[in-house]
Amino acid sequence: MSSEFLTLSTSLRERTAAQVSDSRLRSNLARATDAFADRKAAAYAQFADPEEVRAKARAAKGEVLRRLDQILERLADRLEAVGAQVHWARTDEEARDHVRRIVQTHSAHRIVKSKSMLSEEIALNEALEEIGSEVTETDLGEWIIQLAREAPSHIIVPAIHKDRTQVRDTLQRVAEGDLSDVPGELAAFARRELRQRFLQADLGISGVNFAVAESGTLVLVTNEGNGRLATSVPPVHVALLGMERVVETWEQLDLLLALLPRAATGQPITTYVSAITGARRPKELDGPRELHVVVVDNGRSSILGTEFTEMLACIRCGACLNVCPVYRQTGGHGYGWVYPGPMGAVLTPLLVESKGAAEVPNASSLCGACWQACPVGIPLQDMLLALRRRASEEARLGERAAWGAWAAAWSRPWAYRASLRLASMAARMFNPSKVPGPPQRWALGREVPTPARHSFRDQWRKGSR
Amino acid sequence: MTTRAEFLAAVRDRLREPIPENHLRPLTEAGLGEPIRYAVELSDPEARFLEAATGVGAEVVGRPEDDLRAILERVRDDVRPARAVVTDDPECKGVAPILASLGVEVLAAGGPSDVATADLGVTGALGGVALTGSLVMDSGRARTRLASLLPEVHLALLARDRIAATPGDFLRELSRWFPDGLPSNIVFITGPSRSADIELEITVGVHGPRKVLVALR
Ligand code: SF4
Repeated sequence: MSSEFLTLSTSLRERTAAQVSDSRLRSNLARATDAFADRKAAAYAQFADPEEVRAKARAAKGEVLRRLDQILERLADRLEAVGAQVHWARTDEEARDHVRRIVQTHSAHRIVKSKSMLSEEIALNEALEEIGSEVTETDLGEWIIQLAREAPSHIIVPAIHKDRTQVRDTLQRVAEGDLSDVPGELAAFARRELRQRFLQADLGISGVNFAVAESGTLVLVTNEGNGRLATSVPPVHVALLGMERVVETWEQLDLLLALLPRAATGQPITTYVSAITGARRPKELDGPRELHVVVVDNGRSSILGTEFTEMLACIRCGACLNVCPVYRQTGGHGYGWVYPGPMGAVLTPLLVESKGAAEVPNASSLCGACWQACPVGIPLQDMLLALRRRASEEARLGERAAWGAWAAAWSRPWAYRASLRLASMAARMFNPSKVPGPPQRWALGREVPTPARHSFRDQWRKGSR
Repeated sequence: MTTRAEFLAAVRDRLREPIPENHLRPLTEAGLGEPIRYAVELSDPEARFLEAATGVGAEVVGRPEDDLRAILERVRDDVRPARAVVTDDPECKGVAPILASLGVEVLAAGGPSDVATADLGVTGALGGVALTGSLVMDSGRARTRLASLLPEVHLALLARDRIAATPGDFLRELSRWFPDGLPSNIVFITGPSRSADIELEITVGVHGPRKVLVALR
């Protein structure tokens, strides 16, 4: 896994255009994340007691994680009972192998995908392209990113760092006539272009937002409809399921379904919520004839049972990104791997064993805004503190050196500039009195390193060579 | 390749000891069985459904008292479809002949490349959700999932007495809604297909229908 981390940063470095303007990036991010905040407040106001829903959701996920083995077993039984084929992958490599084998069995050259963070995590597209398949990301934002050969910068809005002109320039690469930069016209172009690919596709790949064990149902939450198309039009559907994305009952699902869109985009419900239970039935006229579910561990079980277990309750809503002062300044690419923001700062070092990853938790100010925003109440800042402590204990280098290693992980010119700002901001904002409870005691007795701008820059230069 | 038994054993192994608690922020036993309480007026589900559906950009083109032919005529004048696909949902009874008489070619549901040529999809709805203004599609009853997805315009016919108050009310009663077991695909549709992927500006119809029309029956 560590090699992937490095591969990703290296290739990013190679691919990146040096001209990305970070002021534009920041204003895009700020506008986007503010818009989310307003809508979110209105959507939460529909609950008689938002805190109660949040507490229940947290308890529900806690209950599921405590009995995860039994619930996964029940899910697998039900999936098989409704005719789905279940594949088990302990590693990213195994997950890629499963998908490759299914693809090869069907000689599937043309593959359409709906957004899946897990597929980014296991670097699936590259693996499929290696065996000669053509993979098209069909979420508009993901498609833009794929054409631009970049990595997503936000888990809900992958191309959030691009403005309309940049999007137009990217889509222009596959367009015949000249495109305008009007979002509606760009979206209409994407519809025409991607519709053809859906109709020609041999196989569709999707992620899964939630799996319901009691009925063997996969739930997908989308706004564009590409998730519905990818799972309805091609003759074969392959669903990638992170093993923690399961609930036991529909009652539990109701809680998470009510929270996810409200926290993510401020919608009471997304445009489409699909509940898929098995492949096409004999009397149905359309839908895939085969359904494969690849259940992926890839480091998740090593989190289970530890003080970081609750991180597995994450429903990938992106709310913690939107409120994070560090994310708002730097954007998603600075976190070095697929998961950005506070959730990424916790998840990345837990899933990726590399030095660069261990330093990602430093990219936070511990202000606690992430925890307050998190719809399932994950105590992100407690975990960030614990990870920092662990990283510096393990490295036995003290944090001053850690800052240097962390800097080496930034690979883009703008990320580098952002990281300078971030480092001084993190120090400014690290106000121990704001961290409640026991970690506060730890925090109060502890010195925050103030990075010196020039030595920081020098260390970064050394690291990037 | 890892087998199911190996995979699950590895998970089980991690759960032998109790999971360490965050004493600062302990988990509460929050009455999980109770439905979510909403601060939204839901006593008149039909009124709330219409308000919420309109709020997300669906258009109401008919009320229960309206004549089916009059509704379809209005839709034809508004959408000007050359071709429509009509599902087997019970609410759609009588729709195909009326559309044909209005000069619209009617396709039966079938393969994606055929359905994709229709500019109007007419479906029933298994139910509705008042809180969110959602329509519930059932691939078993309709025998298709594409009619509400591929055409640019989707017209759904929903019986007024099939509106649940909240998504939870629907989900908690699945066995009543689906007495023969779950179909391969259930979808809650709430307004037209939308994307905010370019500068967070909302654009409709990026993959699914750009117009969702609802007629209450
Ligand atoms: S950690 Fe919480 S707020 Fe962040 S993405 Fe996960 S669920 Fe959302």
